[in-house]
Amino acid sequence: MSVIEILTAYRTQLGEGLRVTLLLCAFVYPLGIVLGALVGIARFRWRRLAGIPGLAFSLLMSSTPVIVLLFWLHYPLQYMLQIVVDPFITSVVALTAIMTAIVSDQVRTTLVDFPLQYSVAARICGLTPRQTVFKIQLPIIARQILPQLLFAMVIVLQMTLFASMIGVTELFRVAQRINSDIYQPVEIYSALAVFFIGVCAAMNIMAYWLKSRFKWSFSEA
Amino acid sequence: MLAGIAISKSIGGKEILSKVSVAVDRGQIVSLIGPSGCGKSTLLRNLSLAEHPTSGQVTLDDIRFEFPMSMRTKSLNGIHPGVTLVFQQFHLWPHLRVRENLLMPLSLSGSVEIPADFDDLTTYFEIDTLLGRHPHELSVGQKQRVAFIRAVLLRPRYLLLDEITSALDVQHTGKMLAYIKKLAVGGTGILLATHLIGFAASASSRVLFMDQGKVVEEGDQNILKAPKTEVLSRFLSFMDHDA
Repeated sequence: MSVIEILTAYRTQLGEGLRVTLLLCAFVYPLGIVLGALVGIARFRWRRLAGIPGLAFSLLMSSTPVIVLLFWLHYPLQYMLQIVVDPFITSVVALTAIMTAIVSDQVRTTLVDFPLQYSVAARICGLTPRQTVFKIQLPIIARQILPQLLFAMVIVLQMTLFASMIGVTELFRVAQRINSDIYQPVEIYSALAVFFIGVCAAMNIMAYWLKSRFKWSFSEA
Repeated sequence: MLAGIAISKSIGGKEILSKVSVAVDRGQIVSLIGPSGCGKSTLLRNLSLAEHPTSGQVTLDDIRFEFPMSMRTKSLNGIHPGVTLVFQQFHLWPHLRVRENLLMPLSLSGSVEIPADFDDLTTYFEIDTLLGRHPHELSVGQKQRVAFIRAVLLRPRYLLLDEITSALDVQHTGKMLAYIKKLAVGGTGILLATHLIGFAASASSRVLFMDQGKVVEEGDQNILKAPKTEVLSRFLSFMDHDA
């Protein structure tokens, strides 16, 4: 079978796999971004209280292989707690934890590096603290952090593949099943690679474009 | 009157300003001169309350601030832009176009209309064709003029200027200085840190010479012609008497 024939013949299964992959992202992206922003702000704002635990969490997440984290959450933890959790939910929790760590690092770094002179200029021009936050600080921070968020989203999209290892029927697991039916790994995995390269490259290009678009000179003189 | 009384500022244990007193009245031009690093910029930032002095007193008309500030009196709401400062590094907001940099503070203060002199100001300072650009697309001199117009449009009672001609060519320096005089005639109190001794000598009602964080000599323009201290005399001998 050619790639086109495989895509046509297995379109229902592939569509379902794609739906699960996108659903994982739909849960993980907003949760990771919101929690990451909150943790990042807390790490910046309360350095003593949240700084060390936040850093430890971030180090733990960046040092633990994704597959180990997924397996640990899926088997030992559930065994210890004597509970059974749907693998999809386990995957959402694991990937959200990773994305939270990535985003919190990005948010904290952006806040630490924020050029305070723009806030001072706002105050001198008579802006209230609230106006300074919404008109000056947040727009600058958002523009600085948006490209980094896109890079993080690409990483997490690629990590969704590991969810197949604990039984989530996402795109990679569907591809594995089709391959076990017809054994045409070159065509199947090439098609999968093309899909991921297409999506991830588009997001990466967008991130690079935003990065160059918002790359201002902060050294003004 | 905008006045600083016995303003001291220490950063990291190092004293940058030591009990400096300065006052500027409405319609007056007061010039701060002195070698680089003598504390002129720090004095302007502290007097404008962009920074808080370590100790001393700042008075803006009938409002008085004592430093160090107690928590109870910490709010500076309403002070700005009655007094405002044009920074040496301009601090234009990088995400906003020139037009927004100029007009946003006004619109946020409740002003719904573009000021009548907006076009005249931007044309006079040759910024009118640059309104759609972002700050990083401007030359340093253009940024300096935008920062000045932004401050002027806020109609401050006291305008503090930190080396306002540092990035300007001769033509724009002349226009800038003429406009500063016009502002003073209109009732704005001007305090400027400058290296333009000629301008300080011709336009200032008062001149303060600073060295190592202290006011070493002060008086009317005559101190520039007949300095009393050796250190000012030596400083003036190094300076070009430019207009």
